[in-house]
Amino acid sequence: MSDHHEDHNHGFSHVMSPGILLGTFAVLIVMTIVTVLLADSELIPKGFDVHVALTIATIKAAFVMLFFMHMIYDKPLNTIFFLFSIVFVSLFLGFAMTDTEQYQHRIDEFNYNEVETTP
Amino acid sequence: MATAVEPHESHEDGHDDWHHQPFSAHHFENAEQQFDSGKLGMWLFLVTEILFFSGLFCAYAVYRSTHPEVFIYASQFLDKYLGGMNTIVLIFSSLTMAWAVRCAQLGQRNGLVTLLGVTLFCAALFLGVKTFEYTEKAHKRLLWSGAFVKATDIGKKSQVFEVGKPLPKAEFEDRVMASLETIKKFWWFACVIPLVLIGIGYGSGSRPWRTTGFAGLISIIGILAGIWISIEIHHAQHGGDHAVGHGDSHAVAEHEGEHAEDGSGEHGHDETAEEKEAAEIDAEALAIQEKTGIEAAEAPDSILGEMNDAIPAISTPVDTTPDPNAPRNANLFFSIYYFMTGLHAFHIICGMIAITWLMVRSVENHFRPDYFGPVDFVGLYWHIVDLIWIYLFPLLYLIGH
Repeated sequence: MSDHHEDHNHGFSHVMSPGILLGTFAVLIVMTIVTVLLADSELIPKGFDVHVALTIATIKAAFVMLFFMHMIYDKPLNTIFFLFSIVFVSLFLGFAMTDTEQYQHRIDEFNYNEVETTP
Repeated sequence: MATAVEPHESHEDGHDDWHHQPFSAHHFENAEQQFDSGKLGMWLFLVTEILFFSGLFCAYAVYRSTHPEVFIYASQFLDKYLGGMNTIVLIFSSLTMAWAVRCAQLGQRNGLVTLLGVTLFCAALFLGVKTFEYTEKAHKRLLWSGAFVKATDIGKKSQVFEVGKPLPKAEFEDRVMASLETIKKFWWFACVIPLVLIGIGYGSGSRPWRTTGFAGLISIIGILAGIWISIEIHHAQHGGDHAVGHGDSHAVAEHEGEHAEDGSGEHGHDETAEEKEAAEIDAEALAIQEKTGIEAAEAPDSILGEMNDAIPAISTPVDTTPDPNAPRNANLFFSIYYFMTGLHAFHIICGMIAITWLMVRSVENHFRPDYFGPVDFVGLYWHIVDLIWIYLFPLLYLIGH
């Protein structure tokens, strides 16, 4: 830290070390490459590619949040706000998804009838 | 909260020092309180951003669950190499932004300005790649649902998303390039606007004006570099096909040319230059027609084939025939694609404006170890933009390969 006369005032935020920043960057790049490679490969059973991709994306997001966004050293209040937003997003998506398939068979019926009647 | 400092000491000590510094808001107890309040406000804004984007993610989830075939089919038109490059560029810009915050905290002004410049350049590179992607897709008629409403339905005007008005008869590649040239001019214009505004505010020639000009220059160079790189990547992937196509057309043209010469040879070599030229033009036209036929037959570019009769004037060789394998409502995917990536690109532009503002302020030496809030807050915003792209990339570009 500098020898400024107001030294007691600027201990209030954690300074990220270059090692952590570069390490986070390396992890993110590696995971991006892994995502791209996994998308092509046959290793993942059919239908699971979304889950794998989203899991990797979430791990990447966690790294960005914790280290680039300083959340690991941040005031807990900010973290709580963020976590609540995630709770509400999952409520929103969850409820929307439970209802989605509800009328799908009617839409399909309508579509297929329309296809059949129009030459 | 537990983090509150003892009011007496900090007030007595901090008051005179801190309250007489520039940018110290008088209603805050000390620098830490000012910083924490700003950070809390920024987090509240980021929460609204997350909730706001979640609406689009919800649309994506609903339509992907009801129309999985559309997503699998349509995502093959997205170039995952360009998308992957953009992901890496954004992650790198996040790194430089996080490092810029570190520099601001330690009072390293030169490092701060440099890293902000690098971040700005990466943001512009991202936009350049996006410019190419959008332009190419627009010319392939890969647009949102309803982009090709029947001409008779709406005021006799075809609802084509025209990019830059290239020559109607130009070939696909040329049309994309012509449009890109036009769009580049718009980007130049966009990068000059802040310069003009700052010039009005601070006077042209002032230091903020010069910094803004420098930031605008970085932006336009980044955008042009992004367009150039994505053209190169695109050619590296599809160059083989195009070369074959061109080769064929030239071969046919030469062949026809020989025929023309043979035919006229019997009359002696007295044919006029005009005749020769006309024959060549005919041959060229034939070659182009043949090539068009080939491309139309094998190119799966037109998932919107059924709507193409609405745009006779500008219909391209590439997409005159519908792809029989295209699922119903295939451009649903592109509605979601353009809305999500477009909104994300808008956030990138806002971030670039904010970073330019930070550059101006850091050149003016406004930031110091007890006042670096703005850098930190813009950094948080920039990381959220990166975060959203981290989810968008696999969800849009990497489906069912």
